[in-house]
This record gives sequence, structure tokens and C-alpha cells, in this order.
Amino acid sequence: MVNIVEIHNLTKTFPGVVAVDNVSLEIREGELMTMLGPSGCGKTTTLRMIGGFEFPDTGRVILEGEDVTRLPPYKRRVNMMFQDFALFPHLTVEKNIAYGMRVAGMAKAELVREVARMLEMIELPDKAKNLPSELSNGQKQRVALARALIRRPRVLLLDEPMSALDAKLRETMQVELKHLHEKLGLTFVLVTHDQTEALVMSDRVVVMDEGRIAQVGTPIELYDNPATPYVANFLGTSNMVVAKVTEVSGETIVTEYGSGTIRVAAQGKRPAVGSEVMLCIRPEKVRVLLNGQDSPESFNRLDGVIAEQFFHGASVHLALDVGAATSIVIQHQLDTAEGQAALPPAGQRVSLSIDPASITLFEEVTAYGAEDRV
Amino acid sequence: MTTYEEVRVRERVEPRQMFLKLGGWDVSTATLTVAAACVLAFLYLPIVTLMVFSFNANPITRLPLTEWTFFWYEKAFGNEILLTALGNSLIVASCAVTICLCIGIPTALALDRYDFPGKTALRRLVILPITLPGLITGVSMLTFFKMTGVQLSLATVIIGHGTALTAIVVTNVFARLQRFDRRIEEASADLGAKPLRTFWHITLPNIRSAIIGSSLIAFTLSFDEIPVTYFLTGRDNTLPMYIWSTIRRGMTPEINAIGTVIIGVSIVLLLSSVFIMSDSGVRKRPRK
Repeated sequence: MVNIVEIHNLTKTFPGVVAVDNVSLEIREGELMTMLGPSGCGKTTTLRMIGGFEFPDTGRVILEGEDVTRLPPYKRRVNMMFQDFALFPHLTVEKNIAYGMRVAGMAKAELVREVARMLEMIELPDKAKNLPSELSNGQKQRVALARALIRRPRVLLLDEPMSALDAKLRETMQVELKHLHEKLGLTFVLVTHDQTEALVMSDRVVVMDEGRIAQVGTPIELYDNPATPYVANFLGTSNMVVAKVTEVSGETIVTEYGSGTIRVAAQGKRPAVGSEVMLCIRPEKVRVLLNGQDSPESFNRLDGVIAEQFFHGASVHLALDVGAATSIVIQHQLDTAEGQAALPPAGQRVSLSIDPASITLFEEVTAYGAEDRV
Repeated sequence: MTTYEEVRVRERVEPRQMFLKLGGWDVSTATLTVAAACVLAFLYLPIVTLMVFSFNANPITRLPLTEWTFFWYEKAFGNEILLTALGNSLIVASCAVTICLCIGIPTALALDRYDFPGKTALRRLVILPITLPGLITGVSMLTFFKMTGVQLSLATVIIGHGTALTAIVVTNVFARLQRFDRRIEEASADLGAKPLRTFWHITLPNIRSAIIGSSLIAFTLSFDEIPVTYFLTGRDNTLPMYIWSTIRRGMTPEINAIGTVIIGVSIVLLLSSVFIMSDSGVRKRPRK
């Protein structure tokens, strides 16, 4: 696949902060790539450097093989959909959409046709004469999208496109944007701090942390094989527990956690016996064994007491006290009759089963706690 | 559950019940009406008097009114000196406003957008002239012109007004720029517009109301300005100067007539400026 955008060793500092620190990235033609991270991680600055709104201190931005590092936005074939949309408040919807092609000098008749086509695409032909202030946020977003797309950019940049929408509309728009992306075959680069959005929409995700790239990969790769505790913690919910290595043998690492032991697939890691490691255990990969249910011999077995229950609709999260510093949160599905019938009450002693291959082991122990996993 | 609307209704009703009702007459409403009438009378009675007497045939401003006439208007508009003064005032005000805009808009843009040494100082210094009494501005500029050997004329009056009133344009335009969402300029650039086009098509339309509004205020202030004009004019007279010098020799209904015309024009200007300034097209967006 061809790289439509390449970023080489991009660094950008603002007074007192290194916003982007030596970031290199390749964006493939036609993919939907998401830059994910908390605010201040440098994702928006990176996007703005691709768009030409910021110039890097060092490094290069290559667009379709051409070095555009120092080119202003109006000389780049990329378009941006701004956070809060930045529609022109004094222009009607149709004039907002027409603006980009008017600047480009498109003939009047063609422009009218093009705008009508765009209004049709965003399903707002009846709002053509309205001012942006008369639109809902969802409608504004669609106008912003049409305004950017009419320029037929090679890359569409989307800066936190969903942040102004309420939760319900957000889900709908995620799907709509994804469909649009598939239909147009355009390259989308999206910036978000919402991990669900990133996982749902993206072909590939770049997780950023303090101006650097923490990991690049497909949502599944990132979710199943996070490279660092930071990524594991940021994507999805996970139990990050600190355990002590008691044995390293072949492909298995045995650790001690609370009163039990947890075996983990080594995956090429070789921590020293006696050292502390961090384990990432996804709540949905843990199974509660009820009424003497059995699990494969190779699976981990842990005993614990249910301390708390958190109802999530289709599932319930159970916090289990396994006799260690932090409890383990597991997800118990409620979408089947068995699942509902088998929901153990708080205070009950249960056995857990965990596949060693589903646990990710990190040799570095970081401060990412387990506060927000419920 | 109480809705917001219900709470509002209740709050609106309850305080009223504390007042006595006398024979169906709501005391609080009556008091308020009288108070409002007094304030309005205080503000506008003199103006109304002036307008009424401009149509009164008796040359002495005194009751009772005698006969209805347009004579004073005819006389005023047949008065060459008065008309010249009016023309001078219009010239001065227009030129002063032009100067204010030429200096004010770029200054406001610079203050809003660029960081440069002495920015805070400039911001305060630009605003200073409006807080200075016209007397001070007049005397200091007179001294300056005398020192540099500049002949006093309408031009010096224009310069005087321009310096004093630039602050109005700067403050108004600057305030609007502060509320202006810079991202729409980025959006314009993103859509292919070069900086100049962005300025004309995006920035200017969104600060236009502030520009027009402050121009109208500056125009009005220049039009009836006396102290600075008094010091800086040569042989030419502006309308307020003419009126003032005429009145010293006694009140004539002619002045009432020209006053009424000016009031009429002022009201039109004022209303249009309020109308333009209140446009709510631009809304503040949080800045990054």
C-alpha cells in the first residue's frame, strides 16, 4: 500500500512544553487512521502540522511524495474538519459549502450543481439558506464535512469530530463517518481522546503519550497486545495488577498474586525470578466458575470473594477480593438466561478461570492504577 | 417535580403580593411609572422644548406658544455662515472617522494577534486620549502645532479629533476580535483562501458591525466636539462653535431649528448603530 502521508521526526515545542517529540508516522492511502491520547499528548498538534496550521521545529511532512513541511494550509491538498466545526457564521449553509470551490474559481453553474450534490449527500437540502446558528450540532457537523469534502482533498483531517455531539448522536455519527469513509475511499486522519471511538472506527490507531507515539496498530492488535501498560490502560478497561515472578520455565512465567498464582504466556519476555511485573488482565477474559464448572487444565484458577457489583446493562462488573492489594474486576455477561441465573451475590466465594495467553505481562511496573476500570 | 418554568412563574408572582393594592391600583406599578416618567422628563424635556420652540413663531423662547411655523427652518437653511459651519463639521467628522479607522483597525488587529514588545503599553496608550479631557488634548496639540509651525486649519482640527477618537475604534474592534473565533480563519485558509481573501471575506464581515458602530459613535462625538476644535481651528468654524458663538449673543429659534434637524439625524444614526452593533452573528468560542 502507498503511503499518502509520511511524517519524519516531527518535533514541535511551544513555550515551556514539548508538544510533539520526534514523531514519525506513515499513513497509508485510503485508511482511516486515528490518533488517540489524552489531552496534551500532541495528537492535535501533529494533525495541525499535517494541515499546515503549525510548522514543526524540526522534521518533515511528506504529502504524496512532496515535502509540504513549510507550505501554508491553502497550498496543501488536505482539508480539515475542525473541532466545533468553525463554520462561517455570516454565511448560509450553501455558501459555507461553496466557499472552498469559489476560492478555487469553479464556474458558477458547476458550483451550484456541486453544492446541491453535497447537500444531498449530507441530507440537508432544505437547510441550504439557513445560517449555521440555526442548525443543531449534528447538522453543523455534516455541513463542516461537506465543506471540507467539496474540495476533493487527498486526505481529510478530523479534529475531535464527535466532541460537540451528545452521546447518542456520537454513536450514530461514528457509524455514518465510517460508512462515508468506505464509500469515498479517502484517507481519513482522525484525532480523538475517546478510545471507544478509536476502536470502533479505525483501520489503524496511533496511541500517543506526552508527545511521543506509544504504539501503532490495528484496534485488535492494540487491544490484545498492548506494548506498554499505558496503552493497555488507555484502550478498553483492564486490571493492571502488580505480581511477583516466582518461576520462569520455557514458555510460561509463573507469578504470585495475593494468595494465588497466575501463569502467563512468556511471549519472549524473560523477567528475573523475584522481580515485580505488571499484568494486564481484561475483565471479559476472566470467567467465573459456578457450581463446580470446570476449565482447561492449562488455565489459571483463582479463588476470591465478590466484594462489589456494578451493573452495566448487558453485563455486570464484579470486583473480586483475591487477597491481594487490588481487587480484580471481571465482566459477567447478563445477555443469556444462564448468565442472569448464575449471577453470584456479593459476598459469595467463587473460583475464576483465566487463559494464560490472554494475559499481557509488562516487565516495567508503572503507576497506572486500577481506579477507572469499573 | 417542579419545572424551571413553574419556579419562574412563582418567583414572578410572589414578590408582588407583598405590595398593597389600593382600590384595584397596584401601588408598585404606579410608583414605577411615576419614577420612570420623572427620569425620562429629566432626560428629554429640554430636547422636546427645543424641538417645540423651533416651530414657534415668536422669536423669544417663552410660553405661551403663539403660531406654528417653518420660518426658522427656512432661515437656518438660508444662513450661509451656518451652512458653511455645518459643511465644515461634516468634513471634519468624516475625515476624523477615516483617520480613526485607518489607525484603529490595524492597531486592534495587531493588539489581538501579535506579540510584540510594549504591547501592553501600546494598549493603554491608545486608549488614553479618550480619557483625557478635551481641554488637555486641545492645549497640548495647539502647543505642538505652534512649536512645529503648522498653520491652524480644519486639517489640524481633523488631526485633533482623529487622535482623540481613535481609541473608540480600537477598543470596539479589539473587543470584537477577542470574541472572534480564529478557527474560522484557519478554516478559510484550509479551504484554499490566501490571507488577503480570508481577511476580506471572513474576518471583515465578522467585525464589520464593530467597525460601523464605532465609526458612528466617533462621527457623532466629532460632530459636536467643542474643546479640541476651539483650540485647533483656524478661521473655519464648525457647527457647534457657530451655535455657541451665536447663542452668546442671544438665543434664536434658528438654532432650535438646526438643533432639531441634528437631533433627528442623530436618532437615526444612533438607532442604526445600535441595530448594527447588536447583531449576534459572531459568538465566542473557547480558544485553545
